[in-house]
Amino acid sequence: MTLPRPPPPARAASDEAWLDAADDIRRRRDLLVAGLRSGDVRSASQAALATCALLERVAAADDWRTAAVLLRRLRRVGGGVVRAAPGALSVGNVLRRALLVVREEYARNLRESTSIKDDAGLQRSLGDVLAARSAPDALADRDDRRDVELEALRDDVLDQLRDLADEIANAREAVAARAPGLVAPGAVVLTAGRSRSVAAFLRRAAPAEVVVVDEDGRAAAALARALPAAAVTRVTAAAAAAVAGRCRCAVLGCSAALADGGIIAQPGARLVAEACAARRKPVLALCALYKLAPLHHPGAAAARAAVAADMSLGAALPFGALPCDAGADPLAAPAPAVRHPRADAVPPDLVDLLVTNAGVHAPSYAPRLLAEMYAPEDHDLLRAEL
Amino acid sequence: MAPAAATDEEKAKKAAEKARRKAEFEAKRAKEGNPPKKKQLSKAERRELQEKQRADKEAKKNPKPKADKPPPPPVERPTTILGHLTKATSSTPPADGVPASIVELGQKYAAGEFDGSNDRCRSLLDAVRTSIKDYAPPPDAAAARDLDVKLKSWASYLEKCREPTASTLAALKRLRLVASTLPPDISPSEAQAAVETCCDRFREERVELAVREIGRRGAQKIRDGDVVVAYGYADAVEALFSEAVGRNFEVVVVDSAPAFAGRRLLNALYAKRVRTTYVRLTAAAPEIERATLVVLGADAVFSNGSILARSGAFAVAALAQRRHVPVLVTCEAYKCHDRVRLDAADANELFEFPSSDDTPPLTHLTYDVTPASYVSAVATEHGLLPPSAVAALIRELAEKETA
Repeated sequence: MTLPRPPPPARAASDEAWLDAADDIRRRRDLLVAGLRSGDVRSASQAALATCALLERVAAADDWRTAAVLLRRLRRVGGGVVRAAPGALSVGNVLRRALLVVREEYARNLRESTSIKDDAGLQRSLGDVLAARSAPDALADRDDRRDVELEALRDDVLDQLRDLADEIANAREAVAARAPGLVAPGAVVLTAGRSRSVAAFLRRAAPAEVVVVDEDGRAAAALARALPAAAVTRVTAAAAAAVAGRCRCAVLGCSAALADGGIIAQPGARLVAEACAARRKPVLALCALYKLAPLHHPGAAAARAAVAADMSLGAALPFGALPCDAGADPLAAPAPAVRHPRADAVPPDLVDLLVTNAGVHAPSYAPRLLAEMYAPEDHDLLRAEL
Repeated sequence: MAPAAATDEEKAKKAAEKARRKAEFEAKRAKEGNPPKKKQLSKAERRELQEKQRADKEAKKNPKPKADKPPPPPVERPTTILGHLTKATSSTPPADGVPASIVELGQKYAAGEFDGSNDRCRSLLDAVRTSIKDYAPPPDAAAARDLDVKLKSWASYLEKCREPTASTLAALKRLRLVASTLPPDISPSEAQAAVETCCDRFREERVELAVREIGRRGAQKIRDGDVVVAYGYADAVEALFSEAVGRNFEVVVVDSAPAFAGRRLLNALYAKRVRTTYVRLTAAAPEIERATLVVLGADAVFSNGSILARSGAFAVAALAQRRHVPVLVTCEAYKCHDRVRLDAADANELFEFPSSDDTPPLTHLTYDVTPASYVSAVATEHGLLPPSAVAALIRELAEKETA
């Protein structure tokens, strides 16, 4: 059941015209969507960097004058990508960060431009007085339209977006730098699936042995190349629980972390986390901040999309078709439903630490990080546009 | 008995005797090359000895590196956490005096054939039955005595081909008990017949009947609307679902590399028109979250209630426990085993599947040890028991066996 959409505000028409005219931005947006859908842009970091570059383009255009217009354009372009590829959670995260950047820069610029004037010139409402808010903040908050034209806003926003791109590009090494102290050199570490964050982290941690749950062999080959000094043992998923008892800890990469501190990671991550919990071994989730999404699994549709998209049947069944598929009477019984999600949701009670580029946190700290990074009104990006 | 009455004459006699004995003893000692030395040490010598002992003690306290002595050979340590497990090889030991059907079975064992303990047991009983047909006792030995020796040698040959299971150990124990209690004057043909009967009865009573009975008892736990998760394949699990056919339930077959034995269960259920879902172990968590019951087969249940089962079973049980889904383990009573294994990585069958040059080989362990705390009930042909009751069952069955 869908609710009837409210009639779009009058100014949306001009945005429509703008996007039609902005060939370059439209082309880049479509390219990103195609890449996310085809799997060419697979990793969260690739998606985040590409989104950041796209939003930087939007902000760099010289035909906007007010923050309100820029916010609408960012929402429009970024929201289009989010809608087209809901499973790529880092796209939405970067968009939220960019929106907050614009709001904060607008508020700061406005404060600076008005601070020379006398506060007395501004009417303060009783509510403002009771909330003990300063006058310029009250002005920025009350002025939802954000239609004051500020000269330095474009440059400041672009600076901030470039910083954001740098942060994303350097996040992997920043997370890896946390390894000493968390994992002692010479330890035995368990991991699952292929992750460049885990490889970088383990290069710093210098374990004696890495046990990787990996049945197709790609993750183990990459780890063996990245860690020439460590023994790499590749085990089946079935053997994960048996080897977990012999490991010091598990280190898992992830494509997203959620509002409750749980993570979305490669298939097998949940199994490894559960095996470690049964053996009282700590589980470290490596999660750069741009992966932290203000969503819950399985409550949020986007979080479900990140997990539930089925992989091809070939990946699910390495032996080919199920025997009962071949020559079976189609009327006899419904064919078995084969499920093979492309990701695993690991609940927060199975994660001991979130290792981010900002620090090492318990999963219960995730809401605090979210509050610092995103504005609450941006949590739901697919809401009817403002 | 009156020393006071001893005369001087007697005293002298005794003294003479004593002297004589002493001389004899000294002579004997000298002959053996062990001269009395304590008394012969002078004071200086004693001092020298003491100094030497002191120096030795000091040297022991502060050992000096000795250049001339080569360092001891380095101790072979397992370099990886599974390094202590020997890899399963497909080669078979030399078979002398072992009949052809046992050798053939050994080769199959070494090749890793037979998925599941019941199949291992059935194949063993078949091979023994075939071998016993051609059995002829040596002319100089009694058939009863010789039969036990033969069975022992066959068992040790098979053990070298592949680690025995609780099921094969139980079958061989039964067979050897029968062979060793045969009357000594029994004719070879009667001995053969006794062993054949034992094979048949063991198979029918302890395996097939047990499977059907577990199916009947376990199926009582399946109700309309249930979603039951099963992992891999087990005879009793299949029997349990067959027994429940007609009720409205769904089975989620969880399966794993490298054997993908769950396909066998899936086919059987498909043939019986049971609604099924098939997932790999890595995708089992969301299925277990919606399940109402988890059913696992077992290769053995130990006396402390822990379960030896297909590897991956522990993870399935742990996922189920987190979601408060009951875990039912099916286990024929003959697989209840009085040995205990603490951890699956302590002793296990290790298989290595080689891959291309730069990819490490895929390592697989055959068994998992699931602690009793993860198991809600063990379904045996004697009833559904809590895991803690398995020790009592083992004891009662052992008493019945010997009675």
